[in-house]
Parts: sequence; structure tokens; C-alpha cells
Amino acid sequence: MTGTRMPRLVVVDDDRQLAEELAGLFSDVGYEVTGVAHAALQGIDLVEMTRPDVVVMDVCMDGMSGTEAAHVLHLQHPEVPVVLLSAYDDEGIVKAAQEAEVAAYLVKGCTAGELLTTVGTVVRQSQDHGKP
Amino acid sequence: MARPGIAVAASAPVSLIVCSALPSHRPSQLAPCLLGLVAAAVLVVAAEVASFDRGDAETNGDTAGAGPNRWSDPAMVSVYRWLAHWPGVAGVSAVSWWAARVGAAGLLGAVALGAVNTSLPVPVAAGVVGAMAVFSLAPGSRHLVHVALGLVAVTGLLVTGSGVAALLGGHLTAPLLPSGPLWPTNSAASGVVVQTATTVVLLSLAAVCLPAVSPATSAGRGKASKLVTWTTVGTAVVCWVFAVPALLRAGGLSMSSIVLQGRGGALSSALAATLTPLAGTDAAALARWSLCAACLAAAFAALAGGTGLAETAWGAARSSRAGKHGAAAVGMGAGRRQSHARTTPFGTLAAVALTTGLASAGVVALGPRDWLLVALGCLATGALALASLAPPVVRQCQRLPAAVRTSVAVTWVVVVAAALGSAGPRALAVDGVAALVGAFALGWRGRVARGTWKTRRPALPWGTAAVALVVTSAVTTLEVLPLGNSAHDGALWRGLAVVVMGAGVVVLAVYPATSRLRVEHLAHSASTLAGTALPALVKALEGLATGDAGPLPTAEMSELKAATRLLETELGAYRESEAMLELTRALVDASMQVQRLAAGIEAFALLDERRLEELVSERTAMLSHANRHLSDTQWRRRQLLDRTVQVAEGERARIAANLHDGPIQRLAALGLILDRCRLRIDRDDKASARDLVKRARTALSDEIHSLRQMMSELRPPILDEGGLEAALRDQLSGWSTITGIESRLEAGERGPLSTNGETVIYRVVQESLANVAKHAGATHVLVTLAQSGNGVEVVVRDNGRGFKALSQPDLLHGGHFGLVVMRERVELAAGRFEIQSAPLNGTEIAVWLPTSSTNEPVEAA
Repeated sequence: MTGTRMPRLVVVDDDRQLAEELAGLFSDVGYEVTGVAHAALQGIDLVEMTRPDVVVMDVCMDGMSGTEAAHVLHLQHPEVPVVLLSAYDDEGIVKAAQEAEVAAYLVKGCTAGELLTTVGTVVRQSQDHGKP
Repeated sequence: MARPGIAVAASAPVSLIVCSALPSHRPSQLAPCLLGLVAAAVLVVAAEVASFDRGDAETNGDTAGAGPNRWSDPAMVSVYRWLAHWPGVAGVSAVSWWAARVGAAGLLGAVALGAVNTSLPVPVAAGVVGAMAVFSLAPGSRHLVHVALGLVAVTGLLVTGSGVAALLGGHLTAPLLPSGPLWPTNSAASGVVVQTATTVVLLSLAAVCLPAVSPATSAGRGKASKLVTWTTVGTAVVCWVFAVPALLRAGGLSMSSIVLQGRGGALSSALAATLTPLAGTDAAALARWSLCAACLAAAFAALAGGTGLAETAWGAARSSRAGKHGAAAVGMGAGRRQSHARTTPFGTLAAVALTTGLASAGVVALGPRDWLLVALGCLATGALALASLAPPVVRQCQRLPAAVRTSVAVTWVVVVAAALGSAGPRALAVDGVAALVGAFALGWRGRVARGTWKTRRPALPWGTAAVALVVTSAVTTLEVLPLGNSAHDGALWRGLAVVVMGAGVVVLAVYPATSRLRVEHLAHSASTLAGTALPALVKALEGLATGDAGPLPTAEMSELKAATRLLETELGAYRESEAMLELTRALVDASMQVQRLAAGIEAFALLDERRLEELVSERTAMLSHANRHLSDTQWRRRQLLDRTVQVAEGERARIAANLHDGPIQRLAALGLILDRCRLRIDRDDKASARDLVKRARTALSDEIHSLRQMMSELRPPILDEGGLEAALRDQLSGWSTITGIESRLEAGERGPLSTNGETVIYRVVQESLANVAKHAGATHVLVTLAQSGNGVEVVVRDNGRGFKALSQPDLLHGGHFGLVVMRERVELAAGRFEIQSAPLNGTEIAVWLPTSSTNEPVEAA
């Protein structure tokens, strides 16, 4: 693992407990959780402020949804990959999420290993892309 | 009612004349006869006047409508009134009617006796007188009238029969005796003249009176009866065929004897002389043919009238009620009892034939006798005297009373004329002219005045009678004048007196006829009303009553109205006795009633139609209104159903969202905790792993709890397990805890509700509480639950700011959809939903549902 710096991560989920657990999980494996947001807009602000390496975001949130926020982030901070988490595995939503050009899409209920693997891949890819 | 007084009084001079006409004069016998006649006349007149004063119909002894007819002659009325003023007449009124009649009959008999030649066999004379007395005294004038009429008819027929008998008996062989064909008598010159004139007159007797009655046979009896009538007439014509030669010979017009007999030649030569300026050399032939034509006309008239009169008499006999009355009338005819109406023509025929036969037999057997002439004259006079002027004649002769009366009266005049033959040619001429004028005037006047008679043709026989009289008088006069017989000048005055009396009698006889005709006309109108219009009206009324309204009998109603108007006019023109006026007025009143009834029926029929139309349009309007209401309700229901379905879908969406937001997240979080725990275990960080396990356990418990809550929201188990009251308490306490608004439940004894009913109430309270929390801004809520009537009522009352009570559409539009749905659910459960609210006055929602024992809720379609 090159880069001595720990990858930085923002969690955005309107369910507090789940957000807390997510943050705890990523902390355990060595991520630096720079912020936990419970709303999309709050999450966007956090990304703006902390410039993480990856954002893990829930899809179904009140107000702005995760896909919309991912789209906004892609426009504003394209270098920050977004991983969407959703309770639904509905095809329509999956497609919408993919159109938002997120880095990855995961369904809630997946194992922690799957989640960590996916997020690690996304971070590595973005770091590789980020290298000139 | 007979007026024998007048008749007797008139018959006195007649008898006198008749007596004087006899070749053998017995003046010594005349005086007592005359005096007796006068006395009888006075008695009868007095009795009549007295009866008139009393106005008592029974006095007359005639019960069938005597009053009106008797007093229907204004002239007679005035005469009676004038007579009544004489002193002493009232005293005489005590004399009974019967006594008067007896006296009259007896006196007439005496006249007959006195006038009869001494050669008259006593038994015959007694028989004649007795017959007359019987006829006079018979109860009721009706049959007497019949008899009288029969006598008149018999007279003419006897004459005819005599002619026949004479012919058969060889008496009429040419050349005829100059003294006349039938009556061989003393051949005094005047007697010859008288004989001839008398013969002619007697022959014309039938010609005069009988034609007047001919319409009686032809009046509205139908074709068959007319046919029979004319057949009868034809038969009579055959009989007369024998009389015509006799007539001609009597008039001296025998073709073969004109030359032989100077008289006939004298008559014809006289006529020829008159006609010479016109016809020239053919005057003689013309005169002959003219006289022949005239005699034929007279004969024909006599034929028609003879059968008519006989039939009238027969018909009168038939129409009288009691058979015993008819028996008397039979004496004149065929010996037939009362029989059916149809046989009247045959009766006439029979009467004619039999009478002719009898007369002929009598003449043959007895030979021509003076007494025969006298008897005939007396019979004729008696008929005239006793019956010709009698209203019963009028009454019985339903078809032609006037004509009968007229004809009989005229016949009497003719008799007078015959009797005047002895008075001299001038008297005869005067008499003849007067009678002629009278007959014409009265007979033809009727024709002109009443040109539209339908049921009678009296003018024809009247005219015919007048013609016959003219011919008679002409023939007699023409025959007599040239002879220039010496006249008894004294007799001229007698003759004139008789003429005046005769004219008066004729007037009196005829005048009532016109008023009588009016009565007949009224009766006809009345029978029209009863016959056609009334039944049609009744039928229309019945039809309307049974609802089977056919077409209105408008034709009958117009006829009814016309008849009514006619009756009114008649009443106005008819100034008769009180009784008659009463009758007519009653008739008019009745017709007015019927007219009103007809108008009522018309109006009712029209009203019925109109009312029916109104009802139909009313019903149609009601139906369309109900239809609109139904459509409206259906539309609103459909709207609500749509919204309900919408809401149900919304509910499901909400549940899905709840599930998403809740349990899924929790379980995902739980998964993450467990994964982290595993990581810790891999790192041998047992302490933090233990913490994580603890946290996982807590999260799981929380999640189970929240799931249970969700279930409870969806369907509170307490409602099924604890009952409505417990559920409501639970609901309230939870709600109060969440909203911080005080609440209280007051529940009382109540009947059982169905499961659906309890659910509805629970939801209503839930919705109401939600509204209170959202809009009311209240601090306190009271929920009451109690029995109300045969159901349960729950009331949710708050002390918030309230809202304007909105109608359902406004509630829908205002977004208070939950309340609208609640109302719908309550009404579908057969309950009542009420909101009462006013600004700053709080809100009260009351719901009433029937207990489960009464109604089961009906689900929405």
C-alpha cells in the first residue's frame, strides 16, 4: 500500500444508527471518517469541506436523494468517487444510480467484507486515476 | 170533455131545419121538441160553466187529463166566463153532469122522434133513440166520442152503401127517377130540390169529414201501414165507384140521362151557359166534364177521409183503457175488441166493409124511407152535437184531433146546409158560401201557418174537405138556382141563424185544434228529449263514471238544446190554462236540468282530460328530479370511491416507506455490527467484540419493538382483545403522550357493536384526534362513548379554535379528506356522522352506529 496517508471517507445516511455503524466499520479497518452526514446536502457540504477520497451514501433519503447528490458531486468534485448504498435492489433504481455515474452500487444487507472490498477498490482506482 | 150544452144548443135549430126539410110538416110536433132542446142546452151549458168555475176535472166524469184539454180553448174559456157572470147560473151548477147528459140525450131522442115521420115504425125509432141515449149516458166521454165518430163515419158509409145497394137493387137503373136516385118521396118541387140537395150533401158528408181524418192513417205509421191504408182507400174507392154514378145522377150529370132528365140537363146547361163565353160551342161538354171532375174529386176525398176517420175511431177505441169502453165503440165497426196497434188499418178495412154491407142490407131490406134520411140526419147531428166538439175526441185522436174536429164540425155545417135546402136557394147559396169560406179559411190556414208539420198532413184533408164542400155547394146551387124555386122567406132567416151558429161552432171546434196542436208539438218535443237525447246523455254519464269515456254525444246534446229552446219558445207563446202552464213549465225545467247535466258532463269530460295531463306532467317532473338526484348521488359516491382507493394505495405506500425507513435500515445496521464484531474477534479484541455483540443485541430488541409498534398501528390488537373502550383508552393515552394535549374518555353502558362498527369508531376517533393535533390548537379533548337509542354514540369534543362547518364537497376540496372518508364509512355502516364546529368554539364530532342486533353494516359497492 503506497501512500502513507489513510484514505478519507464520508458517510451519508439518514438512518443514524446505520450511519454510525458504517463509520465504526470503516474506522476499524483503517479509514479516516472525516464526517457523517444524515442528509444529502449536509453530505455535499462535508465533501466540500473535507475533500475525502470516497463517499458512501444512502440512496433513499428525504429531500435530495443519494443519486441526485452523487450527480451533484460528480459535477462539482468529479475526483471524489461515490458509493451508493440502498435498501432496494430494484432494477430501475439501479439503473438510475448507474446513470448518475457513481463508482459503485451496493445493496444494504450485504456483508461487511463485500462493502470493504468495494470501497477499497474504488479508492485505489481513484488514486490511480488521480496520479498524473 | 164533451160540451153537450153547446152542442145541444146548436143542434136545436139543426133539428128544426131537418124537420122543416121533411116533406111532411108536423109543426105541432116541433114546438115541444124545440123547447126541450133549448132547456137541455141551458142545463148542460150551466153545468159546464159551473164545472169551469170549480175547475174540477172529476166533475166532468173524465179522468184522463180532462182539465187541460177542456180549458184549452180560449174562446170557450171566455164564453164560459161570460156565462158564469149570469145570475142564476151558479145555482144551476148544482145540476149534476150526468143529469145534464141524460137530459141532452133524451131531448135529442125526442127531437128525433118528433122529426120522424109518422110512418116511422115505433120500434125502429125507439131503437134509434135508445141507442143515442145509451151512447150519451155511457160513462166517460171517450167511448162516446168513439161512437160519435163512428156515427159520422157510418153516415157517410151508409150513404155509400145505399148507393151500392140501390145499384144492386136495380134502383139506379137509367133513366133515374127525376125525384132522385135514393129517396123516393113526395115529389114536391121543393122536396125534389131538397131531396137532391140532401142527397148530394149527404153523399158529400163523408167527402167533407172523412178526408179530414185521413192523415190519421198515414201519419208516421210506417210504410206497411201506409200501404195498408192506401189499400183500404182503394177498396173504398171501389165502393165509391158505385156511388159516383149515383152522385152524378143525383147531380143530374148522368151521361146517359142528361138528355133524358131535365134537371141534370138543366144543371149542365146552366154550367154550359156560364162557360159559353170561355169555351164556346164546347161549353156543354166542358160543363159536363167539369162537373164530373168535381164530383170525382169529392168522391176521392171522401174515400181518403172515410178510411181515415174509421181508423181514427177504431184507433181511439183501441187506445181506450178498458175493454168495456171499447165494446161500445165496436158498435160502429167490425165487432172487434181492442187489439194490437198493427191491426188498426185492417180494422179500418173491416169497419168499412162491414158498415157498407150493413148499410146496403138495411137499405135493401127496408127500402128508401124518409125515416132513414131523418135517422141519418139525426145520427149525424147527434154525433156532432155530442162528440164533435168534445176534447176527448181531441185526446183520443192522437194523430189528428184538430182535423177530426174540424171535419166533424164542417160536416155539421153541411148538414145545416142540407137542411137549409128548404129555406130557399138564396139561403142555400149563402150557407154554401159561408161554409166554403170557413172551411177554406180554417183548413188552408193551418197549412200555411204550419208548413213544417211532419207527423200530420191535416191541410190536405182539410183542403179536400173544403173542396168537397165547394163542389157540393156548387152543384146544389147550380142545380137549384136555374130552377128559381119559390123560397120560404121566413126560412131564410132560420137558415141564416143556423149558418151563424154553424160558423160559430166550427170556429169553436177548430180553434182549440190549433192550441191542441201546440200541445201536441210540445209533447212531441218532450218525447224527443226522453227518446233520444236523455238516453244518450245517460250513456255518456255512465261511460264517464266507469272511466270508459267514449265520444261525447254532441249530436244528441245539440238536439237537446234545440228541443229545450223550442220548448221555451212554445211556453212563451202558449197562454193556456194554469194546469197546462204547469205541465209545460215542468217540462221546460226538466229540459233545463238535462241541459245543465249535459253541460256538466261536457265540462267533466274536458276537465278529466286536463287533469290527467297535469298529473302526467307532475309525475314526469318528479321522475326527472329523482333521476337527477340519483345521478348526483352516484357521481359523489364514485368520487369518494376513487379517493378511497387512492387513500388505500397511499396507505400502502406509507407502510412501504415505513418498512424501508425502519426495519431494513435496522437490520442492515445490525449486519454491520456483527461484521465489525467478527473483525474484532479476528483481531482478538474480545472486549470490543463483546461490546459490539451487546450493541447488536440492543439493536435487535429495538427493532423488534418498533416492528411491533408498526403492527399495532396497522391493526391495534387491543381492539380485538380488549374491546373498544380499552382500545380507545390506549389510543388516547398514547396520543396525549405524543401531543401533550390532555384527553379523557367517558364510557358508559352500551349495547354490542359489530367488529366493523368498533373499527369504524376507533378510526373515527383516531382521525379526529389527528385533526385536533393538526388544526385545533386545543388543550383538552373529551371523548364520550355511550348508548343512544338503539345504537352507540361516540363524541369527540375539543376546545380548540374550531372551523367553519363545511359541507362535504367543501371538506373534500379543503383537504379534510379524512373526515369525509370517515363520514362515508360511518354512513356505509348504517350510522350517522355529524360535525359541529364554530370559530373559537371548539369542534364536536359525533358518530352514531346501530348496535349489532339491529343492522348489519352494508359494505360499499
